[in-house]
Amino acid sequence: MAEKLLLSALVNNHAGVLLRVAGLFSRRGFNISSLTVCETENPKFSRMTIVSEAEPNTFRQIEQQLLKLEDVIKVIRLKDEKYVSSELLLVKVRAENKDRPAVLQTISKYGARVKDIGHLTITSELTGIPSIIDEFVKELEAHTIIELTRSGVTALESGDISINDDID
Amino acid sequence: MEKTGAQVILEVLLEQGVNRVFGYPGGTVLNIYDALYEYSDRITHYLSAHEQGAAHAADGYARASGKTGVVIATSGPGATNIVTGIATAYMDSIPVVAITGNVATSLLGRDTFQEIDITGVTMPITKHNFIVKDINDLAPTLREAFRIANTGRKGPVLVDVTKDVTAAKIDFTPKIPAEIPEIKTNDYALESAIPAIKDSKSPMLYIGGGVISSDASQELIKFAEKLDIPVASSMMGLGGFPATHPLYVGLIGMHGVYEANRAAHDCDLLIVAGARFSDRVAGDRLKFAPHAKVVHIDIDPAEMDKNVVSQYHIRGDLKNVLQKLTDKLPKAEHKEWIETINSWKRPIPEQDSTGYVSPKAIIETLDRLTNGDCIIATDVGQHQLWAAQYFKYTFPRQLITSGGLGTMGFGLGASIGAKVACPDKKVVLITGDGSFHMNLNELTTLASYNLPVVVLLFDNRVLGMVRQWQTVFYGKRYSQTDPHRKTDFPKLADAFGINSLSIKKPEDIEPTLKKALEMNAPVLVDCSIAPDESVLPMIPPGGSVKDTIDKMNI
Repeated sequence: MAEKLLLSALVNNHAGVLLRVAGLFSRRGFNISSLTVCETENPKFSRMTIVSEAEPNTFRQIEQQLLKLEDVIKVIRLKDEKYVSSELLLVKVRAENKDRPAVLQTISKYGARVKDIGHLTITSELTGIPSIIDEFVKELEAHTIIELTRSGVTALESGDISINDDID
Repeated sequence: MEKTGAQVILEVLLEQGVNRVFGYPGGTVLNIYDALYEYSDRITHYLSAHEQGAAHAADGYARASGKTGVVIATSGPGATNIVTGIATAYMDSIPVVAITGNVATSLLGRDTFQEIDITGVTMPITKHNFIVKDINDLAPTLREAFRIANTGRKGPVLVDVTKDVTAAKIDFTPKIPAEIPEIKTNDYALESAIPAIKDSKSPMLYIGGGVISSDASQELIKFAEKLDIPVASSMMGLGGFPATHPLYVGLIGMHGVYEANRAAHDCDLLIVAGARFSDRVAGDRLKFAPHAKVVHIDIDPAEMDKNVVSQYHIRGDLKNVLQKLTDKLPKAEHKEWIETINSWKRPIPEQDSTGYVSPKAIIETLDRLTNGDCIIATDVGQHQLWAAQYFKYTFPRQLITSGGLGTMGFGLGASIGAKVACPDKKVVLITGDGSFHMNLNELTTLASYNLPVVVLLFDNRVLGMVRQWQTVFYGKRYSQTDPHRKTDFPKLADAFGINSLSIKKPEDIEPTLKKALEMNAPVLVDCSIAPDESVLPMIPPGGSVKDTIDKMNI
């Protein structure tokens, strides 16, 4: 049975690194559920958070194959709730006059923020763990979702440890 | 000292100890070739007929010498022509640095004449690759390319250099090459495997190309002898353990000897040394070595559990791991087990070669006439397996063959590289008419440089290996494997300015081979092989030892 694998990778911050990682996943037949990447506090590095669905006996293989890429400095597996994670959702929902109060109520129930109001729609933003976002989206489905975009999850280890701990 | 980018490239090559390169000139590497003209007293450039030939030559040079092979090609088609060569080196973990030119930085991304994104193209078939668009990055990038190609599991690295960078000038200071970092042995894993090795009653060693790239032959012999463990080898491992050694069982895998496959199946401990359970060895990876604990030794941790799950993962340099294991383990004896393996011995099935010559007879005669002391390069197909089965390889880097990618057309270029690397060794290319047709243009290179390679052409007029599969699995429907080609190989050799001989009857074998070997000039020997001659035994794909086919139903 496939399970969720959450990886955080420190990679060189230059052109083509995303392509190398994505290409590796594709040619080895590993799946990517989501991938987020941006420069870190050190402009030399970017950090990727990768969510994959895989058989648990291939988890190690995925990590090891990633580590073989020259541009990948370090890979850590985030598991057992020893991490904090968050995802950003932007969602545009149909909210004509009669629906508007109900939509706004759902938005406020989840602590989401209204980012834009159109003639017929409301666009809101929610950050949180993916399961909360899933719930929020599900609740909004009672109305009409016009479009939505999710950033994919990004994560850090909890506590005082850091991916940089043994990096020069 | 002020140097142009092109000069910097050659200076870094010299720094790295490179004095032989293979390649083909073109528009975007004009500056590099102009510098090669100037450096011709220090770097010899071998011009191929086609860039693919140059890439295989650089690969063959690396395989035969243990050094890094270097190939230079121009942008666009020059670069794409080396792709198969790079992939071949990648699959067999051979250190090659490929240098390609690209259009000027200002013209990149505009579909300029002969522009191609070669770093994009070669991303999945290189250990790493670079594009250099700034002269300041040139020398450090090239040095890094050599370091990556030779660190840990070796492999090809491509450096794409834009034309303006090769013309730009910079103050250049030579540097001593960076030391290749040693890969530390996982001692904890090593210790934990020791009781399993000690307790084993019927242990087996399965070796691969890692023995050769780690230069671990001597350590392997000592280990096998002290622990009294029989050795089976993948095709890439041939020569890593002498085939004449009493502990040598033979080639393992699809066309390996029955006793090697049976021993791997029945052993209680399988020590895998620098091998990767390719599907050509472990046809059914879930049923491979079903009774054994598996100790996997490899420099690349990603190989552990990739194909076959092992109980002990010893990451490290094989040379070091085997040394440590030999020191830590007491002497052992496995007489009964070895006798059992011997009782399984089945000679490779004899075939009727009436009217033709037998590949076995040719290869065994070659082995005898050279006292086993020559380098054998091969192409890919039936002849390759016969070369693996019948020649007794006794030293590392003796067999130059495309094991992983299985590149037909590899052999001629590779044999050129091997001869350049080892001018004092006899080099024999064993090829088939199918493979040979792919890149025979490199005969012109053999002739130009008067490289005394003996080309043994196993000429059965069919695409034998595919045809053999059609015989077994496709009801003898010989789709496109009986091409009825009219090529007159002796005439062809003559046209290229190369000597030719032929072996048409069994009694021709010895005198003709003798003559070819003594010629000390490039020579093509056309050998008439029966179209129905097969590679046996054979384990069908996905099968295991119990599915062994010993006889063809022809």
